This record gives sequence, C-alpha cells and structure tokens, in this order.
Amino acid sequence: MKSTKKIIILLAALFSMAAVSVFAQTDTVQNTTTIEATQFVETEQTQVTNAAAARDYSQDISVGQSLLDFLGTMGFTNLTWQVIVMLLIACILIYLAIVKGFEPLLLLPIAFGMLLTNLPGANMFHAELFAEGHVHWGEFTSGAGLLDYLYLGVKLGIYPCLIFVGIGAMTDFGPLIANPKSLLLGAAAQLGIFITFIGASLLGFLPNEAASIGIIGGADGPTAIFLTSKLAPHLLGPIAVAAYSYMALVPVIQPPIMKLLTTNKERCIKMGQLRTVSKRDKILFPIVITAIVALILPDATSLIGCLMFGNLLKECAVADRLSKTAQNEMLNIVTIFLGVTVGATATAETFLSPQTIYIIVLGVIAFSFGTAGGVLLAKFINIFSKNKINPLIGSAGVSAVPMAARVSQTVGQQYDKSNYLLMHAMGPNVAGVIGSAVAAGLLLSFLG
Amino acid sequence: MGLLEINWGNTLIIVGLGFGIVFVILTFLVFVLNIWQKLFTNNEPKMPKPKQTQKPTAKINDVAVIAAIAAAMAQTDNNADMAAIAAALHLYFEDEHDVESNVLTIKQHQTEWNRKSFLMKQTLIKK
Repeated sequence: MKSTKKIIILLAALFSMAAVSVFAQTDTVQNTTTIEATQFVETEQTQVTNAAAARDYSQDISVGQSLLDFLGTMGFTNLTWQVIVMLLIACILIYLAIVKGFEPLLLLPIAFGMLLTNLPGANMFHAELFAEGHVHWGEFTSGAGLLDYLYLGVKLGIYPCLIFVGIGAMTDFGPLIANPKSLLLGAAAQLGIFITFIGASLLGFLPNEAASIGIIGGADGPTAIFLTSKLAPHLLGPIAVAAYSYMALVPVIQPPIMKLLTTNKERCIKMGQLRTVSKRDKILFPIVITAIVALILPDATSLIGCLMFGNLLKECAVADRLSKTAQNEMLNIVTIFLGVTVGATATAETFLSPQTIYIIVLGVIAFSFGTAGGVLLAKFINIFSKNKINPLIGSAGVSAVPMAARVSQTVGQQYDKSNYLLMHAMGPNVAGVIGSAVAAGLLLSFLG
Repeated sequence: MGLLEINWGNTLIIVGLGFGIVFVILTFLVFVLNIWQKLFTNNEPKMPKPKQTQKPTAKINDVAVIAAIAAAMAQTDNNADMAAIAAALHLYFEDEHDVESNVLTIKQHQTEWNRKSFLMKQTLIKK
C-alpha cells in the first residue's frame, strides 16, 4: 500500500510540474521573464538557422581556397615590426622575472599578458571595448576575448581592492602603533607623487594622466593600478610595468639617495626598543583608521577599508580561515588575474610611444623624491625631538613593503653592524601604504 | 608642452592642497594614536613583578665582561652571532635573566624500566 501511495504522489508531482511548465510557456500575461527568455532563445536559434541557410554547404570545397583561407587567419601574416618589438619586450620582462627575480610574482603575469595581447589574431583583448573611459557592454556579446572579461575586474576597481585585503591580512601594524611618529615619515615620502605630478605636467601630460604617473612614487602597485584605471586607463600598461619594475629596483635606487642626504653620525643613530603593542590595540587600530579616513576622505575608503578589513581578519584571531584565504589563495588568484590583464593593456599602439619613455623617466624621479622626502623629514624631526630617529628609516616611507624596510636595515648595518633598524623601518613602511592610499583618494577626488 | 601652456594655478593647487591634506590626515592620525596610547596603555593592569628569591651569589666584574664581549665581537662577522651577543648583553645589563641556584633539582626515581630488581642484565657476582 505504501509503495502505491509513493507512486501516486510521484506521478502527481510529475504531472503538476509538467502542467506548470506548459502553463509558463503558454501564459503570455503573467510571466514576462519566461517570455523574454523564450523569445531570446528562439531569436538566437533563428539566427543560427538563417546563418546555416545562408552558408551553402552543398557547394564543393576547394582545397586551395581552404588552405589560403586558413593561411589568412594565421598570426604570421599579420606580424608588423611594432608587434615584433612588443613580443620582444614581453620576452625581456619574462627573462627579468624568471632569471633575475625582479618581482616575479607580478612581473611574470604582466609580461605574459603582454605577450598574449600582442599575438596577432588571438583576439584576447580589445581596448576599444573600454574606450572613452567606460565599458561598452553592448559590444561584449560580439566577440569579446577572455582577457576582456577578466579586465572588468581592473576596470571596475575590484582586483586592487581584493589585493589590499590580502596585503592587510599579511601586514603587522604593530611597529606603527608603537611609534605613531612613523606616520609622518609615511606622509613625507608621498612627496614623490606630487613632484612627479608637476614634472608630468611639464612634459605635456593632462592632469589626470600626470596624477596617474605621479602615483608611481607611492611605490604601491595596487594603488597605482586603481588610480590609473580610474583616471587614465590608456596608460595602465606602461604605468604598471614602471611601478613594479622600480619596486624591484628599490635596493638600487634608494641607497645612493639615503647616503647623499645623511651624515655618518646620523646613519649610526640607534633607536630605542619599541613598546609592546597589546592585542586590543591591534584590533582597534584597523577599525579606528577606517572610520577616520573614510569620514575625512570618502574616496580613499575602498582602498583603506579593504586594507584594514584584511588586517582585522588577521588580528582578531577568530577568523583564521578567512585570514589565511585572504593571505594565500585569494591574493594569489587575484594577482594572476590582475597581472595578466594589466599586461594585456600594453598593446603596441599604447606602449610604443614617447609617453612610455617619459613615464619610465618620471617613475625614477617619483621614487627618488619619495625617498628624499622621508629621509629629510626624519632629519627635521631630529632637530626638535629628544628621541632621535635614524634618518635611514625615513626612506621606507615610500611603501614597497617590505623591500624598502630591508634597504634601511641593510644600509644601517653597513655603518654599524650592531644597529638593527628593520622593526623601526617597518613603521614608516606600512604608514607609506596608508599614505599612498590617502594620496590616491585625494587625486581621485580632485580629478576623478 | 611649453611652460605657459600649463595651467600653473590648478597644478600648484593640486600639489599644495594634495600634499598638505595627506600630511594633515596622517598628522591627525598621529594625535589619535598618541591620545589612545595615553588613555589605554597607562590604564592597563600591571603584572606584579616576581620576587627574586635568590640573588646571584657572585657578581662578575662588568669590566671583564665588556672586555670579553668586545674580543668576541671582534672575532665574528656573523650577524646571528652579533644578535646573540647583543641579546645576552641586554639581558645581563637589564638584570632580567633567570637566577639559577646551580643546584640540580631533578631527582632520580626508580620506575619499572630502571629499577635494579627488574633489570635483565646479569650483574657481576663477587666472589
């Protein structure tokens, strides 16, 4: 009896489902969504049928013509000298990333993205879909490439913010909380951004382009990409390549400037032990900073908010799984997408221009002035302060975590082997991340 | 591209105002962190200092220690050695090192494994 009941219920359910589906197909008044979907499918099917009908399959296929058609689709036939140069540049960047170890985690995806986008006929990326500063959604259905879809994450400002969540989850703000003066060094190191803004204006760049070039001085890749994608997306490729290349070259660019601006005695200044920062301080810090910065500068909220959210995940110690995911899997996945798509924007038309050379020159200027700003402010603070600051830690204010802090430590040890500056330099270093995000927010509010 | 083509007014406003606001915001954060430090750090309950039950019996001559350390530092270029020496120095002069009584407190006690009566080894028979 029970089995009979089950069969009856099952049959009833099947009949009712069939009735509902028939009703949904026939009803033209109540369920408009179903009608649109059905019409769309019918239209698409009709299009396919029409296309098939238009193409006469009964005609004989000529071997020669087919071969010629196939040869016409090959990339070799569309090779130009510009494309060859771009492919060579991509290969050089791949070499620098793999053999020389220049920021390989970012430079390698960027270089490979550059390679993919410049292969003729591959149609991986179409800059025209994002022309005039906005996404042409209507044209996406007619042959957008894989990288076009992935690039939406850059265009909509999603990837840089997700990367900031990961960076926040990896960053220890303890040295900054223990020595709040570090924030001033982080602010001073943003000098490079604004000096470069003037330099770029002098070279004929528009204000929005000049701001995007200037942000290279923040030595913060995601921030540079975030601002450039909003203000001057056509310069995204050269700016990203310049920013990440110079970040890899921090140990080469910074030491001569640090040595030039400091005396031997200043380089040997030993700083006192930092106070221990409690867990409560570390938990409250991201919440307070987000609230203050967002209230003063709403345009910087997305960057600072994501950075601090990632840090809160780490410090609260109750969301270990989320913290680890943000630090590892999510950060790595987004880095791949970001790198490849940013590299894809470096097409021959945008990259092979005098502007790229200007950007590369201005990038060095930005880093140099940023370094000088931090060092000089540390010297200035020493005039008034009882507790002397080693000016070498000022250079770490240019962000580039933790490379710039390591440079301060290395240069300090060249003059006094017993002087350990690394933890002191981490304060301005993480302050630089906050400073560059604030500067980006400001430029966005002025020019966005 | 000439100097006159640039709108210097706008450029200098962006630079001056931009850099100034970055400085003001971060300086404000410095004040917030300083106030926070004063409010919270001083109110934290302090851990009672552990009483020193026993003073070191013999104080080593500081001059001799410094001389020995200087000699050791001159002999090494290794950063790890330097760090170890620095840490030892810090602990010595801050007097935060553990005070050792120099008395072994591990008492020997017999178990099934080491009790003489359970040993399988044949003992020598004195004649």
